[in-house]
Amino acid sequence: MNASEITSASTTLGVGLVGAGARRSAGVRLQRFAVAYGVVVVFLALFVVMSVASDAFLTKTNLLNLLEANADIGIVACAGTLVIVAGGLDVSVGAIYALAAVLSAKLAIDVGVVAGIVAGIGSGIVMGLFNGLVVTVGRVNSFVATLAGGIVFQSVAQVVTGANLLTPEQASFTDLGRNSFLGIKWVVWMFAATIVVTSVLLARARFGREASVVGANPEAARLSGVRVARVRCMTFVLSGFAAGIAGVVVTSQSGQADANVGGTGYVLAVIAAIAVGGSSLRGGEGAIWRTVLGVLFLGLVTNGLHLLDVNPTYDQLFVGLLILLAVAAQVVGRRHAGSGTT
Amino acid sequence: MLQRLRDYGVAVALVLLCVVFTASTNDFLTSDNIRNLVEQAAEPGLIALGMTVVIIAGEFDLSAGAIFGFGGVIAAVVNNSSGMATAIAAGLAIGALLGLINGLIVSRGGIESFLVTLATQFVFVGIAIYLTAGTNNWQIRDAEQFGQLAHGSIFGVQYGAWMALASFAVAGWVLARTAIGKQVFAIGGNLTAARVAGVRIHVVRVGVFVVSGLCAALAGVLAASDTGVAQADGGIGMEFSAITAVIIGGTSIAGGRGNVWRTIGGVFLLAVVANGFTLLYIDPTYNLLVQGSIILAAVIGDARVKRLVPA
Repeated sequence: MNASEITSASTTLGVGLVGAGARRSAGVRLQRFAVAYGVVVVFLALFVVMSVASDAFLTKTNLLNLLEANADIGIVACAGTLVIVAGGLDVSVGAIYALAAVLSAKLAIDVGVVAGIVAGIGSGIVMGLFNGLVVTVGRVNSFVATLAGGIVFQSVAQVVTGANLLTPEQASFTDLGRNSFLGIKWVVWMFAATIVVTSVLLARARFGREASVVGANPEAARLSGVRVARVRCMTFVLSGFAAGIAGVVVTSQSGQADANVGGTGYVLAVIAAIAVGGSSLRGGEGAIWRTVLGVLFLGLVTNGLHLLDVNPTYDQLFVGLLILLAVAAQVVGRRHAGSGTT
Repeated sequence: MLQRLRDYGVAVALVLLCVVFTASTNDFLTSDNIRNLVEQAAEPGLIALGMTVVIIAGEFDLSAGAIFGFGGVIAAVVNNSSGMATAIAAGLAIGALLGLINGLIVSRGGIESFLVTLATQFVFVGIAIYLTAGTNNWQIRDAEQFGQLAHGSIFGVQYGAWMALASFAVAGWVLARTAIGKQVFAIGGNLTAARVAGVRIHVVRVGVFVVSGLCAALAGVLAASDTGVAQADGGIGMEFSAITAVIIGGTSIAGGRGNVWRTIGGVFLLAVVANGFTLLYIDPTYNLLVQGSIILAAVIGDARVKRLVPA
């Protein structure tokens, strides 16, 4: 992204999120609260509206469906938040997801279920490491690096499948995606585990603090002894790891994989969820719970439209408008709340 | 030397590829094949042209693919009710309008263009699908006549290629030779400095999105004319191909630097690889792999040279 644009925009966006200790009027505090927790308010509002509008919404089955349908995006978006907080952008997650999916399917068929799962997740880590090295050692802009890397990964996926649909139907492979533990699908548990791990990493661990500093000001981070390249590289490895898991899990859910899954549409969904949650694409600032709410909010919109019998071809229109509204609300809110602090 | 290599890298690579394909197949350097290449590059080239202008101004337009579909759908719908000339005008006008909407939200709203156009991409596709009554595509009634726009030719080359060429020439001239062109570079290089220097940044910023919308819609109208059917989501993904072509050409993703001639190089580099592979009967699944590897090598090489020769 454009550095000067970022500078000028951040003068208006500024600090915004944290209430400084100084005495402030109730209005300013309210605005600050709205900016910091706007996504929570909007999410809860939509949740309440849906509960009233549709009998089928507030049922255990539907809520579990909602979680299950968005778990894979959620896993990728949580790790993607780490990349964005560290000032990067990973637009190859859709391609990593695709290659991990077809590799896991291919090996599950040809070798065995365990080999399939290991190959899928392992390839995600390798691709993430590759991205990280191109960005840090190669010093390529992360958007450019992952755009190019993504084209390579997606095309390797095509070579692997030879443009065929792979269908690993062994029960032990599809168990992972289809079976439940305590009445909740494994994929939801994995989403939960990802949330816990990435939250701890970002909010409690040294790695998270370092990533935030790297994203906010890489030069300052370097001067204060943070190994910038290592931290940035690690965020891409984690992002690849997560996309690998998502690829394996979805293949296991559906029992099939082809090279055309994922792609840029998947990437945009992931970035949209992170942005709607309120983490800044400029880096330095973000939280996992925000991303989780962003994922669930977008999931809720689609789920709600479905329950209200809106023609699914119009989903995109509503999703797009809501992304725009959410992002605009944050920007406007920060501008008001941030006045006088920058 | 290295600086030269960086500046002309895309041209060198393109020439090398052409030499290789000329040597390895008899069908590459024929007037038919070259004409084909040029004609097929018109639509992606137009989108990449708009993207170049937007990227030089320091922004992104992820909605270009959606505007491509939208312009085609509008042209198809209007053509069936009010004839071809109105249809073309309507298609282009809607492209400019959608670009205007993008530009106003980005510039007046102060929201990152990456996010704005990510969102409007969904919105535009959604509305275009609505316009097709939910069917996602719209048949053009007198496809024969409307097809003239894409299939008619001057000097044996189709109109679309000429239009793309003319668009590149105009945009190249405006960017390189006029005050407004310099202002596009100025806001991409340093927005605050440009503002201080008296550039009307809102006008220029909105303007580049209008240009991108126009280019994408023109490509969409051409595609609808070519195929006789407009598909609402037919352009999805084209925005990323366009960004790729711009990057391969060597225009800086950070804004403030670049030119449209480089983008022509980027567009043709991608097209020639695909074309050469078809002619050599290589399994098309490997085509994308080679394209991807070239792109990756190009961006890594570019970053290396940039470090050796500070700009």
